[in-house]
Amino acid sequence: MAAPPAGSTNAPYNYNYIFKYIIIGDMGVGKSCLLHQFTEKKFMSDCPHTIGVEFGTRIIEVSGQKIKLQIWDTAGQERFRAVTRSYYRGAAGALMVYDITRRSTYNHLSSWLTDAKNLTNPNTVIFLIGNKADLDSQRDVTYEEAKQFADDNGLMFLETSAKTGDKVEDAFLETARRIYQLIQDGSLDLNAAESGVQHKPSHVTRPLGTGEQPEATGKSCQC
Amino acid sequence: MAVADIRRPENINISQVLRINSFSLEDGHIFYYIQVTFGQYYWQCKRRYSEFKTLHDKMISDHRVDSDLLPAKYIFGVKNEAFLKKRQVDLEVYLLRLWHHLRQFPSALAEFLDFHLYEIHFVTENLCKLLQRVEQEGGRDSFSFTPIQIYAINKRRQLPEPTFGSSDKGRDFGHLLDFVHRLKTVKIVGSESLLGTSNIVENQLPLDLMIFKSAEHLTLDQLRTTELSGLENVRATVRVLRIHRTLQTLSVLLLRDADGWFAQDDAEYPRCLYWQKIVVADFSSNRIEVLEPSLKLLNNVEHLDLSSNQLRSLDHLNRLHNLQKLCLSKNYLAELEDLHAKLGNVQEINLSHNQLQTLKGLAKMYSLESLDISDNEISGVAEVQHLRKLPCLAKLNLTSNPITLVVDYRIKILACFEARANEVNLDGSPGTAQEISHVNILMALKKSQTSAIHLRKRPSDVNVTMGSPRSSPASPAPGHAVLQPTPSSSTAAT
Ligand SMILES: Nc1nc2c(ncn2[C@@H]2O[C@H](COP(=O)(O)OP(=O)(O)OP(=O)(O)O)[C@@H](O)[C@H]2O)c(=O)[nH]1
Ligand SMILES: [Mg+2]
Repeated sequence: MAAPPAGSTNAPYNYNYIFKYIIIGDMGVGKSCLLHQFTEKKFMSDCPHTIGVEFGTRIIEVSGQKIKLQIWDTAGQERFRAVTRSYYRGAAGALMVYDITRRSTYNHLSSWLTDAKNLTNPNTVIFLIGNKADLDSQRDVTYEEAKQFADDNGLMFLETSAKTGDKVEDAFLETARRIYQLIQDGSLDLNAAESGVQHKPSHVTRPLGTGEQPEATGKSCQC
Repeated sequence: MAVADIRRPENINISQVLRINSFSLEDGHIFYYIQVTFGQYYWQCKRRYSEFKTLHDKMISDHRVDSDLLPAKYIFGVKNEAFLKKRQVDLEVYLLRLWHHLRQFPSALAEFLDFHLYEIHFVTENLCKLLQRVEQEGGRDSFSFTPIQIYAINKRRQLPEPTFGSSDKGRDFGHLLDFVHRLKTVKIVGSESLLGTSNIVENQLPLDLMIFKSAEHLTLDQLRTTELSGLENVRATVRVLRIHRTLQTLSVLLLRDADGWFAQDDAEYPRCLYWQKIVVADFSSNRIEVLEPSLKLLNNVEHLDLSSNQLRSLDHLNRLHNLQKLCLSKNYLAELEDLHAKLGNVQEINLSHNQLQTLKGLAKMYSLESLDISDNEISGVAEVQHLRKLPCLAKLNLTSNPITLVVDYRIKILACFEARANEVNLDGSPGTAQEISHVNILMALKKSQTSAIHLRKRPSDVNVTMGSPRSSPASPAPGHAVLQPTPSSSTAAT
């Protein structure tokens, strides 16, 4: 389900920024489906539980800048909580997902939010997503209630459906726009290792195969 | 060593402290064996008559000792057994008298008796001297100690005595203590063998680290954790901790002063037990066999080195949320099942010199940027296929694996990474222009390849045709073979 950039037709290295995202939330809320919908534009109806972490990328455009999103899809199962915590480090955006048909996943948001606030940097953009909006008949959390929660905590908010694809793009793109805005107004320091953003001059990578410079093999740990 | 206050000789029975046990003829010279005993500890030094004489001359000039005190040099005749026996006794009497006569114990006598190696006052005084030299050279903030030196400083600290014995203020103990308090980089190298000619085993001495109040880098080599104390300070200041040839488990260190908490506890430890400051933990060259839950006490560690241990599996590493660099080389690792479920956002892993036959467990370590698996037992290109989805991998070291003997090894490995082939540094060098163009051709071929093509040609033919890029891709060019994940290592030259 992860979609590495390798092999994609449009030159995969042509981008100006890399933004790191992390997707968090209870198991089964649809995190992996959201990622898949965003990167592949498809819905996976029988998606297995994520073990540890999954990964996907997609290049988007914000204000004429090509931005490569590096998205870490974490496992919601409690037993992976320790592993997934390490992926908060250096995330520029955090998508915090609950399932609008299961109230318990909404009730757990405060604990996810605590982790997100503690383990990311203050500039990390946190976006609240109420997923499975297509199942409106089984709705267990109202839009208004969640919107209130988001406002109280300074989060951006949307309801999405990974199944129909509704608002999925918007959630990922709005997060990127917000991050880009933070870069523009200088509140996000690109040089800080933990910012979750890398700037790359376009046409970045080493010219194809002029690989003569013998990179020092001296590893940093002398073992 | 230790102990009694040698500056007030009336307090101790000198004749029990000092004895000349024997003499012997070595290289044409007679040596007298002096034994110094303090409580349970003793040491021996051997001295020639001429050395007694030198000492005596100094005693005469510096301390107005009676010049007749030393038995006269025997000038004529044979040095027979009886004569030497008597001389042994006389010299012993000389030392006892000298000691008795002196109100202060002079450095010259201390050195003559090797006190500077074994006795706390003179061990510290010796350190003071060393320190003077260091400061003349412009000072420094790192220093290497032996356990006896630390023991002596701690003991000396607790003695109700003025901070300096000699008139030389440079040798003030307070000065030494201040220096130690301010040290940023401390190394302590212990030993299990007997110290010099003594019966002291340095590693049996209590080792209180409390005196290192500013240490940020601490290296402990060949010590016994059971003797360690004063770890509160280490927790408060040390950022880089290196321990070698000391540990059988990490808990013996991490929980050393944690009464009632056990290694296997997976409960939350109290805040004060965490080694919060530590960012680099180097536990290489120990005998660690398993990792225990207590590992999480190193909760802020970013770089963990466990190389040259005896690990067969990896556990509890998931608690280290800040871990970025992990060195596991020279262990007994044979498999890494689902590593991404055990290990978080790690950028760099060194697994060299293990027993890995498969890389399957690394397939989802998406955060990896640098991977060293040199000196393992990886034999097929199919194994490297497991790494092809790692989006950030920029450095891969496969040297000294059977796979490197595969024909067209580099091209086949680089081809695993498809469009990213030119971003991957393999075995210390990026793909050359030629290699990358070969990879590109392979990719083009693969794209147009229909699944039904069967190939029998040897992959060694590849080089012949590679020179012509964009050669009609539909034709079953011999290069196709390279695209197949080698099902077995049959192509490996053996
Ligand atoms: N109807 C509907 N079903 C969804 C939607 N999103 C996900 N699902 C279903 O919900 C189930 C769980 O989705 P996942 O994406 O695997 O959930 P997850 O959050 O990744 O779960 P973990 O990996 O265990 O943390 C799957 O069976 C999906 O088909 C949605 O928007 N609408
Ligand atoms: Mg999932």
